[in-house]
Amino acid sequence: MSQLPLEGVRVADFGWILAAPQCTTWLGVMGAEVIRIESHQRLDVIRFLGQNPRDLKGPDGSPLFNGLNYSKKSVTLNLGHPRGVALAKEIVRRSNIVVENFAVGMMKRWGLSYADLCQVKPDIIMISGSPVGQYGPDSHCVGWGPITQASAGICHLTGYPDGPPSSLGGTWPDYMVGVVMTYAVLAALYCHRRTGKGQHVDLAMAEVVTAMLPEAIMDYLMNKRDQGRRGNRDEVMVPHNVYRCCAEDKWVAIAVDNEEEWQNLCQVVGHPEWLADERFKDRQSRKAHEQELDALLTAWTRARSQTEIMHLLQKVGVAATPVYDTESLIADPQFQHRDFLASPGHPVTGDHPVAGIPGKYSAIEKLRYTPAPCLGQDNEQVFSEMLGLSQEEIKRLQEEKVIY
Amino acid sequence: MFEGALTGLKIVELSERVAGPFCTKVMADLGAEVMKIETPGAGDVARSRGPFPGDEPHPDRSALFLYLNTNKFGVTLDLSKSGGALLFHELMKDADILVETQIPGFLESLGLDFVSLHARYPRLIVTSITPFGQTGPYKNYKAYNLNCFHTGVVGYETPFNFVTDPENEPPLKTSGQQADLLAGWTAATATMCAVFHRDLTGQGQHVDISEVEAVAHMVRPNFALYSHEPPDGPNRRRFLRRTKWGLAYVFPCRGGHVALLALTDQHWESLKALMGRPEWAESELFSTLLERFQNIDALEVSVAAWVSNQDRDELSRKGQELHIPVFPVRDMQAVVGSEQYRERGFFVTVDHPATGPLTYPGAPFKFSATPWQMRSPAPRLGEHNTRIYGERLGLSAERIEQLRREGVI
Repeated sequence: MSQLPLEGVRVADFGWILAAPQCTTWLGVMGAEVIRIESHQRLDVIRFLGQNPRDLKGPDGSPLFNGLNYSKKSVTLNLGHPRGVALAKEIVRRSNIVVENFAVGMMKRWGLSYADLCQVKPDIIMISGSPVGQYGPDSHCVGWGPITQASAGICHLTGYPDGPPSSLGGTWPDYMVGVVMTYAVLAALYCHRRTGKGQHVDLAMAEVVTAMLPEAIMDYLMNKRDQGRRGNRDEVMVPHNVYRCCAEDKWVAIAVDNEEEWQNLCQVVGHPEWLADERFKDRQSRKAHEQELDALLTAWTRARSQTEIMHLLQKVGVAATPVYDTESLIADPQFQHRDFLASPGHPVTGDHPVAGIPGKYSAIEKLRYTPAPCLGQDNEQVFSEMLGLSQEEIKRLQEEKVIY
Repeated sequence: MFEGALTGLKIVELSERVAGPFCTKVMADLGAEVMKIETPGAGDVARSRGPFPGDEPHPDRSALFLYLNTNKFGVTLDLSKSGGALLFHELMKDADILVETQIPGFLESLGLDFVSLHARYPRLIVTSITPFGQTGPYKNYKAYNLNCFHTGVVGYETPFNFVTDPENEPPLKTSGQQADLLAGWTAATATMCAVFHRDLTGQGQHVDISEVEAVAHMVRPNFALYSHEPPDGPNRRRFLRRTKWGLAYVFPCRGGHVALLALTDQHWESLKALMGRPEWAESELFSTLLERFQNIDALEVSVAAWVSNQDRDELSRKGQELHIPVFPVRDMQAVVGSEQYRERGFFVTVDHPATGPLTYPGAPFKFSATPWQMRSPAPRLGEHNTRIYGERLGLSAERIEQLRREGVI
């Protein structure tokens, strides 16, 4: 069996909902031993979402949770109980990394702040994810991704021209923040390998979003221009939009960046006369007549299928690709070829494909995909083997709702 | 001497536009040494993309380029010229990582593909970012940010949660270059995994990032929800189309818009209290998480009607007091004026010889032991040619001049 990048790394995972679990799943797939610390006292709501209402299966029966939280372990600890906190600290003492995304102040209230954890493990790496950061006048604010993005400016910039502001699809930016958390953790781990130093990383979801809006932010700061909402349009590229195809609610995205692409587009759609048309003679003219051009192009696209358009235009180097819904993406030959989906399996919800971790690694034969943990399934292994508690003690702690 | 989390890592960037430069920027910002290679003449295409101060295009003044290339060295090099490949090999000798975004096959045609490089530099990590990845029937297909955002499903589900007339509400891109930037984060994360793998094995490897997959990764619940549902199951269709995910909306209100989420029982109880416990809210239809999920359309209409009469800032403040996730929808003025960002020092002012001081977004994370630092502004085209080719590689001034005349640098 080939080695995995994070073998020997242990993660005490206090994360929940979406962003932090995304981070620790990535770490687990890469070989880290991730111990999810949960509790019946404050169950991750994701454990209940996405279930068939007529066939509820309890906290282990969520496809949503199981499709997100694979490749990790689960223990249950009541952090409202001092003994629960003490045991959590014992796990941290044996870990390299702590991940958490509770409301700001919760970890401190439990006695599990970075300063507290440094007492038991001086070189611990800890990352705290939160909506707007661990300090500052709004740090008390709660927010999930789809809401927090509004405070960061992107909703204001997303929408049809003259339409209302909108959120982005896919509970943006939760999963993206999970990727950024992973990156930050790995950078801190690299630093630790080199210097022996641990540290605390304070990651703000809103800042991740705003840091990805450099054009809009800097245009405002430099030129006092608020770019507002532009639909699918681009400042420079034209045509640049999604166009109706022959089937219901099917669209193709076409983006043209240079003259060569424009000329090839005109040929393929059978309108070489556009090349001599005053309205379309250069980029600026096409931009000025963008709406007319989009209507003309739609007359061609709506008679054809997404994939037909893609292949015809790609043949001449024009960026045309289908606007995919989930089902179409799953069925696409490119995605099937790339094995984008993984099958960690699950004892309660069964063996169904779920999204894997992106990226192909030439020297890693097999990434580690193991089923998402049932709630508390690793209590025995962690408390007995790792922490050395006796069976009687574990039983007593269960009765006292410490291991709970 | 600046000590960043990634100090010690040496990266060569053979890329332009957004995804590759952003991948190396986030690593440069944490202390990695990044050598950016641009084509002599025009350089990175991003130099021609705005916005520009005063709307006057200039290759050293594109805000997009300036932002994406902080903390890097910049050299020019034409790989297609015979001297170019030799110099490239000189640069690779002590590099840990090459980040490249060329069309698959291009580097192979120059003898610089992963297999050839790996034979000479077994510890080198090569990270490739392309729209569809290095393999498969579409590997050579072209796709810009717009395409990747839409093909990766996020575009199809935008605007989130309130498409009612699909034929007249086309799938929607958002502002800027979100797909490209996301591919950059994904590639930087994957590259770090390869760095740890090299620590264990001594071997570099090829990391193959598909931008469309990086985007599709953002709708990851869809795949699980789809695959777990029987083909005729009631939930299958709902997760296929424009997804309604729960009560998480942008609502119009007095003074603008708010984004509000009420998903858990706790959120819902708080929201009911905030609304003054209207009779409709106590309906059986909304009594549990699953009921609310099933009756989302009715719930949305009723909540929207109430929100429309509320004041934006007051609703946000009172909602937060009750731990309801609610924020005002902020425009650019409100974002750059945010007290929260100010206190955290999120925006940074960067002086650049071609623009004077400009304000940029900073890093989205605070590292307590190795804080992020703006060490140097983006390079002007070929700014570090003498420093790198002369001082570091030991080329004579005459040789550098000759390479310049030949158009190699």
